[in-house]
Amino acid sequence: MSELKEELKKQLIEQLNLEDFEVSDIEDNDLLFGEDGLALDSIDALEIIVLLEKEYGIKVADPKQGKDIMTSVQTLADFIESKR
Amino acid sequence: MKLYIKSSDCISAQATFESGLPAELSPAENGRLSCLKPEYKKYISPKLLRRMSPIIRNGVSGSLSALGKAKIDVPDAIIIGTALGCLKDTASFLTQLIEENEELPNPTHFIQSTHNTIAGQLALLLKCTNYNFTFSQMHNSFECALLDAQLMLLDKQANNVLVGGVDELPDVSYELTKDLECYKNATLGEGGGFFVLSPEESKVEFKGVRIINADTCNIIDELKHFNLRIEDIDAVIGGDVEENDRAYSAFQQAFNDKPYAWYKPFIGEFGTASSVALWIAAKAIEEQSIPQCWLKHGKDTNRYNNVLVYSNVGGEQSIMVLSKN
Repeated sequence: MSELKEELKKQLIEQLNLEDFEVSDIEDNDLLFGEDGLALDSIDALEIIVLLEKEYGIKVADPKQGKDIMTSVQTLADFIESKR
Repeated sequence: MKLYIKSSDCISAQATFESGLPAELSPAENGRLSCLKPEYKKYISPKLLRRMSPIIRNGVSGSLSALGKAKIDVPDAIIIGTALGCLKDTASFLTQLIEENEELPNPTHFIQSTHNTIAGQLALLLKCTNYNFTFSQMHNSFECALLDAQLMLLDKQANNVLVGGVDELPDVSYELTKDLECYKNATLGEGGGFFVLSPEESKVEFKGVRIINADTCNIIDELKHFNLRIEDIDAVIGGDVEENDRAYSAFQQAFNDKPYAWYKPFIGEFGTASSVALWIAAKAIEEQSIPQCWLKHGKDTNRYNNVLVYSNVGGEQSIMVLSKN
């Protein structure tokens, strides 16, 4: 699980061009969206959906799920694990 | 009505940004001239910056700098010229489409790949809902933008217009351009010039732009449109790419005794390079000086009342004229 979270952090930094971030800057439970965390936006949400499908073969079929899945790196990892 | 260049800025392979005409020029490296990167974070928040390709970063930073100098928060119009638009994002998007069998392209590259991304980003950043237009007419893209700005101002549809020309040279288009043998004798480059035009008086009068749809250019006739004669011109900025550029030889002869500046060996050839030429002309008038390193022929006279910019790339010709106010 911790390997998966490290991998996810690397992928998020690369895919979303988070130029000022290192893997160590992102805590597992940091909020991905909203001003208190990484402050990602709706385009990033699209990028994450593409990332999940491309890297893990997982489709987010129900858009309502997105909010819970993409809360933090921890929830993303939990979602991936649940689909494996 | 007279029009003026209220402010300007330029991003290029030389130290032109937030500066006057550099007195020293750097040579091309590896056969190309890439832009010196401004401190983008001064103009764009890191949150937005991370998504922007070089042309968007340069287009937005150059435009915001010009607006800042003119002390304008929201212009009455944003008009951008770009010959090839956001090539880096387009190449990334198309490459992904091919490599991944038309599945799962990244949305950011797609969203940012259109030509009007630069003007659109400016509108979003400035919360500017005024006229917003992008011209893409290859080597006359900037001239078309400038002409539109001129017409808007003369028609009193606007009191100030942000107008710019910008292009980028990502690796993929550098390789393609070389393979296709476009611009055979030129060093390829990138960059752009950005201006605020207004009827409010400033040091530099913008006399106008003319796009010449003909095989030749009769400069005497063309200058008549500005009520000028050859002897009234104090300096010429030519788009020659090499010492004996045939496209410019006849033109250059007509101005044999005048300071003749060139810029493409220092900033490179690209679709909107003439925007940099206009910036050089504006600086020559503002500073009443052209550093010798920019002059192909003649010497700095320190007296520039009328400066002519001539561009001719593969027969796509234009002239622009600036005067000292």
